[in-house]
Amino acid sequence: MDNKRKFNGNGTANGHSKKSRNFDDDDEMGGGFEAELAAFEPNDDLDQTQLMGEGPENQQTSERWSRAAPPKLNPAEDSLTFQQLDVENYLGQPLPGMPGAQLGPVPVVRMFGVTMEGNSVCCHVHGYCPYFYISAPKNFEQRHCADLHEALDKKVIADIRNNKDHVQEAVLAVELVQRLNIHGYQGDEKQWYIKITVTLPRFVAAASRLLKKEVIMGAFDFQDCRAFENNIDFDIRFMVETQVVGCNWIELPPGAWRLRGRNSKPAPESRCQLEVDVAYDQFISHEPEGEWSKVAPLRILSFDIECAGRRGIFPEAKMDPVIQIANMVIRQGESEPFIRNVFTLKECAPIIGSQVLCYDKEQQLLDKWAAFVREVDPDILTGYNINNFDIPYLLNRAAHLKVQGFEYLGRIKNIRSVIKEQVLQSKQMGRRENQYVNFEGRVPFDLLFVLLRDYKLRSYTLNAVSYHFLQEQKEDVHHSIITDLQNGDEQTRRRLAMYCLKDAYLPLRLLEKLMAIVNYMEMARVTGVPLESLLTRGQQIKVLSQLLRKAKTKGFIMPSYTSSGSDEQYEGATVIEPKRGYYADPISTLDFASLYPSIMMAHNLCYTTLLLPGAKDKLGLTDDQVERTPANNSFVKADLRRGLLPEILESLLAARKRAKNDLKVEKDPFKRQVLDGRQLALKISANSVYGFTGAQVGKLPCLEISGSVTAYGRTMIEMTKNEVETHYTRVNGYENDAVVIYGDTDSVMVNFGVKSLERSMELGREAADLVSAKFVQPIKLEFEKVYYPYLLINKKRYAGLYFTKPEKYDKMDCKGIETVRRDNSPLVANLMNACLQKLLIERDPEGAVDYCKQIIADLLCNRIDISQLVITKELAKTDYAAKQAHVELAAKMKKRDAGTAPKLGDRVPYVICAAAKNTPAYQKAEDPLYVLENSVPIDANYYLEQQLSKPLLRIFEPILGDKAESVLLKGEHTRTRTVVTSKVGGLAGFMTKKAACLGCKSLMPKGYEQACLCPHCEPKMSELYQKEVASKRGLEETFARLWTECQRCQGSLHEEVICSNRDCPIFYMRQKVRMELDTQEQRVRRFGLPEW
Amino acid sequence: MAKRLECPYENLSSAFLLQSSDYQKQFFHLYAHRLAEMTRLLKPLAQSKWGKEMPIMKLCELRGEQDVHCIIIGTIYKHQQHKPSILRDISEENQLAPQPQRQNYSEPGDKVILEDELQRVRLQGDHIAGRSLATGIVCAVKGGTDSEGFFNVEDILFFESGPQKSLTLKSPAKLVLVSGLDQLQAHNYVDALNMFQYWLSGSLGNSKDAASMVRLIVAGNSVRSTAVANVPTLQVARSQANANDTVQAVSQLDSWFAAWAQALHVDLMPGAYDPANFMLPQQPFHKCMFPQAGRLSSFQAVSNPYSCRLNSALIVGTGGQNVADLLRSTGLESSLEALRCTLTWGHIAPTAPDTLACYPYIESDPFIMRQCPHVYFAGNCEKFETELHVGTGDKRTRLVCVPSFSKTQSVALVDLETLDCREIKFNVESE
Repeated sequence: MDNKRKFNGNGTANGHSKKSRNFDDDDEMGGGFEAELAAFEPNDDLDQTQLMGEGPENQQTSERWSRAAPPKLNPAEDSLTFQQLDVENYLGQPLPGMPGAQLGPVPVVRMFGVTMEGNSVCCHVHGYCPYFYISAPKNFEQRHCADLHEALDKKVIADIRNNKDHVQEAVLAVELVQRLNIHGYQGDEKQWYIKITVTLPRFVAAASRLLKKEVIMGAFDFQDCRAFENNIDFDIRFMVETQVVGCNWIELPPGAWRLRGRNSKPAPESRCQLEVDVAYDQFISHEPEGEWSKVAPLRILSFDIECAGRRGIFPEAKMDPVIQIANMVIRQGESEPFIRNVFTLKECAPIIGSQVLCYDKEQQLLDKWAAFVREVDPDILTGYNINNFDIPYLLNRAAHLKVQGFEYLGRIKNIRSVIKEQVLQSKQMGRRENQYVNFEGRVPFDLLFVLLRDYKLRSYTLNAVSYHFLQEQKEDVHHSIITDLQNGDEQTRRRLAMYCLKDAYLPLRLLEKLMAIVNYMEMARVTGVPLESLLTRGQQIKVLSQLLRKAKTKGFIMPSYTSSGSDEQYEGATVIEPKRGYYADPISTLDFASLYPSIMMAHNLCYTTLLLPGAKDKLGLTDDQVERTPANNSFVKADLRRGLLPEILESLLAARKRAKNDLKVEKDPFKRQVLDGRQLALKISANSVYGFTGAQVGKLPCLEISGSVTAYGRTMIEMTKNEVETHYTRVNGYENDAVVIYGDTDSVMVNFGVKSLERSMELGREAADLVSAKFVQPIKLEFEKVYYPYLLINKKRYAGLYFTKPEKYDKMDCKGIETVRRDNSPLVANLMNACLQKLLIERDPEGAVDYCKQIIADLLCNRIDISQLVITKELAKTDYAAKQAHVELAAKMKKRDAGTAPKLGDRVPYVICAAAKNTPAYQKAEDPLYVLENSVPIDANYYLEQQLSKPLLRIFEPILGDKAESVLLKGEHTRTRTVVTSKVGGLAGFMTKKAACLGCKSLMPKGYEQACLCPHCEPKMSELYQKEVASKRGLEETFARLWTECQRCQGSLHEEVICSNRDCPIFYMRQKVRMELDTQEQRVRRFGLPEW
Repeated sequence: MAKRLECPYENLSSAFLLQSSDYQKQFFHLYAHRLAEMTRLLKPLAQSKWGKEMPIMKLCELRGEQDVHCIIIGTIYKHQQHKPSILRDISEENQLAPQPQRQNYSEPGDKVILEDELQRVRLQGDHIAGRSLATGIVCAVKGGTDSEGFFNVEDILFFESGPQKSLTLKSPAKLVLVSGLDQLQAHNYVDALNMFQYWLSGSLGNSKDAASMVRLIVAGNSVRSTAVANVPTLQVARSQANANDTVQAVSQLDSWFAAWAQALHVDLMPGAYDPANFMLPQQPFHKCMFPQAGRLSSFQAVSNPYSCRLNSALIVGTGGQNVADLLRSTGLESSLEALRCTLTWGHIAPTAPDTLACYPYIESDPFIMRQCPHVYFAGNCEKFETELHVGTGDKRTRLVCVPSFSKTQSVALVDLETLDCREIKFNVESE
């Protein structure tokens, strides 16, 4: 049930967290971040909050639940190969025979994964140590290294506040090395840097801080020495060093690894079936290519909980019991879950096809569920909003009930899962406070997060989402009923369990439909970051990981950058002023393929090629070795030094091309999914490189690059326009003078003035080749599509029928038009959609205008279904400064019935009702059901003027011109209005109803009070009767279709429909049709029963 | 007018007449009553067929996954991918490519589910031919559950309608069945209609035959035989106000019926597209629509479905909606087959209310065939088809698919003594 959920982070404010984690995020352009986030403290050791304890042993209760036993392996002869899913580090004791520090504690990397046979693996990787660089001060030589080592070691150890880990050694090595600074071209001569290797990740921050602040060695001043790469996460650093990318395959060759067993030392720490140790330089990390692009049979657990809340109050873990937990476990690549079960509190009738596990005590239920999770040993945990609701609720509830050992849900036996808070800031999604729970070795993969990240939707409830993607409604039970069902008998609890199971099943189906797991896995492989960080972190980490990998092979190191929070702006992409209008002729569209990446490649834009002011003269470069960009920055040309970013982009785009080619020939549907996910991941990654250089609060912003990229983009759009308009002219023998009617970022729309699709495509293709030839490789202008017809409303607002082949259109393409705005009523989106269809597909502008008028007339005559008028807003907090419609309404509803009124976190649906003049809008909101039941009149004017008029005028102005407003909003069709008399309020109490003639609506004359028609209309009785019956026909059909649909949707013929899913488009309809049908029946009845 | 045979008649359709109506009710009552009554009727049949040892169980008694052999009585639900759905119709996402209405949406992949009072189970087995089953049938199945949650059906049993009274009266009475007069299109076959009228009156050299024709049943779609084109809008229902052409047609029909009722008794049933209510049972036309014919005692409007006893024969029939809906939702190939199926299932319209609109009854299911009819017909079929069906216990039922007159210009003539039936054609060109 998602009405119990809240998507904002409000509930977390009173949280139980020990500390917050701040993660950066950004999107393409950067900027706009809150400056405080820049003060990201590098290498903060996150593991400190882990509470140590001893978790329960794994139990084996069911063959179906447990994983199959692993094969017997002999480390000396056998190799072990697994797909790694999670990489993390912890502090452990050094293992004899392993490289690295020999005095504890030392950082150990843990990789979790699954073999192709489906066995879970925990692999401890030893000997990898964190390091960073500082630029060497003048005269610092090899012989000084030992002194610095000793001095720094002492300082760092002295700096530790309470040395509870008994650290005896902090700095492991100090070396003088030669590297190149990534930022700015300074020739190929390497500079001297000091590489400082420390024992623990947290000493990186400590050591670099001490170097900055304190005098370490009298002879040298390190305070001015710039630090390099001291802000890189240890896990990422490790992955870069060992060439491990997210979700790739790891092979441990025979003889290189040790297997932990019952009597081994160290003893196994994990719940995995195979636990092994290996040195960091002894394993093989396979590139995810060819055979190694396969995916292991991961176990994905999707679950959903139900809580029995109190009337009118959002469930609180301290008060309200968990009554059911439904679980579905699927193996990646299979179509049906192989475990389906539900844990219930109190007896529940069996469900065929699903296992029902009943418990009398809630403690027992929770305890058994935790044991179930440990036994099933899932690799991925999913569900809907589990991160912010289900998981924290379960943990808090278990803690409140003192369920022993519940919180050991991860794969490490003695680590508890605890709730932390995390703030994710991104331009794309705004600031979100999320809760985060650790499950060592299991990846929490909340479907809601995926949707929030990747899809722009009107509503994110599970109902709305499953309707959107699966065209299926989900029965929804109002939370006030859940407790009643729980308190009923085993059959009502069974009914509840059915909902719960469905809520656990839907996320799996959606993940499959959206190919989310596969796509994210490919993204992890392409960008080299762990799977989990794709959901919890932003774009930057992905680019950073690739940049580090590339830099390392070339001997570059990255300066650590502290944000100055500057407001320096660079000019954005250009837009050619649109020539607005409705184009009935084909409009050819020329697109730059991957524009920004190709600019960076073509002009060799990179950190490593940037010429800082003065560097050109200093290095004595000639003009033809340097390229000056339109943004007035200089970069050296590729023959002098090929940039890293262009190389990254090249390999990304080449890989994308390969994936696309493989996709063409691949037949196997699962492999096709993988390939398609990959090519998409590659495309997104290529585009985010540009964003990385522009993110001003990023790890390494470089406005010279991003500014130059957009500047090139602008000149290219301009140039394309000129080329096309000067070449395609009548003078040159073409049908017409071509006109560029619009251009934006990476595409140009051309009107060649031809009538046929074929010809416009031919010219488009020709023009693309003609212009491409004038650009530097690999910038390429491509002809992709023709819009025919095309409605150009304004900048970034247009719609057209999209053709890639002359036979049939591919789709209707709309940009920037009100179809998904969440604060609109569905009427707006649907009307816009219908009008666009008529304009574009049926090519019938008059029909569109007529349709539009018809709907406006229907609106004014109260013939529009109320579900079309419902506006929905989330009740996020009650103390808004300004009065808001939905808040006022929630208060009003609470007075009517506190039990069913919306609570904090609920979404409040409302309609705007007619009221006295000058009544503020926030007082006019009313509950749609109340409106239906009491025939409260709708404020049609509000919908016409506030909701419909602007978007309608926008699309019709290009067609009707200035008279659009008078035609659409003030025409004949707006004259007739129906006023509904309300059953409540105002004068309703004083009115009496008098019989009127069904034919002419006049009051009945004396003596005719019981008749249906007045004497004047009586001769037309047959006709008038047929009219009434005809209206009844329509209502009857709708009634039957609506209520049988609900019967089907709830999955039972013999039980009453109790669903109250207000997101469902038929929720209000079915109520309204009931009332209308009763009214209509009364009218028909006035003619008397058909008696013969 | 020739002298006509007199023969006893009794209208048995009172169960189909709605004295009052309440649309606050839902459809589960109807299913529940259907299941309860059919269970009562099926239990003794199941025990006599499969023996008393075989337990009759509820799905909720099948605890867990053990393999229990038993009998389950429940309602069939067919899960069909392409079943018409109002949700899909109004889905804004689908507006771009409206799904064409499918003539037949039955597919091999349809899932057959059995639902008893509380629970559901998927059925599988050789007897479960999804293509010949429909939602709403109540049946008994014998078999056992498997670990995958399926119920493996070894045998299946339907109610096959109630007992049949024997034909007692021996008189050569004949019944005329016509449907689909489609007055709006009648200009295309007005000659055939005139011929039909002559034939009814015995003026086509058939005066002897005509004397034994005691009753004419007009089985629906007299005014219209195709749906009015639907304009999709954002509203629940746009009032279908332009009824002028049908008003004209109705008064035309009034004249025909007034003429025919001079010759014999005429029972007029409404049909799927007539100006009557939409849900089954359709209520009789109002008297005000037929001022001329209504004056004659030999003319009456009746409900659809319609049931009467004539010359001791029990006659049951519909305007054909039940058969047409089955042809859409199952793999049944002909109207006759579908008609026979409803008889063997013991239910006139099992797909109501699921895909066939019907009134939300709360206290009974009037469509259960509590008695086995002698003549069982469905109107508005593509062509004339007939068969003498012999059921268990030697129950004999004449099945008649009454052709649509507008398509075939023919009617069906049933001999109520022998239960013989033949088609009479009035197609001017072909004769």
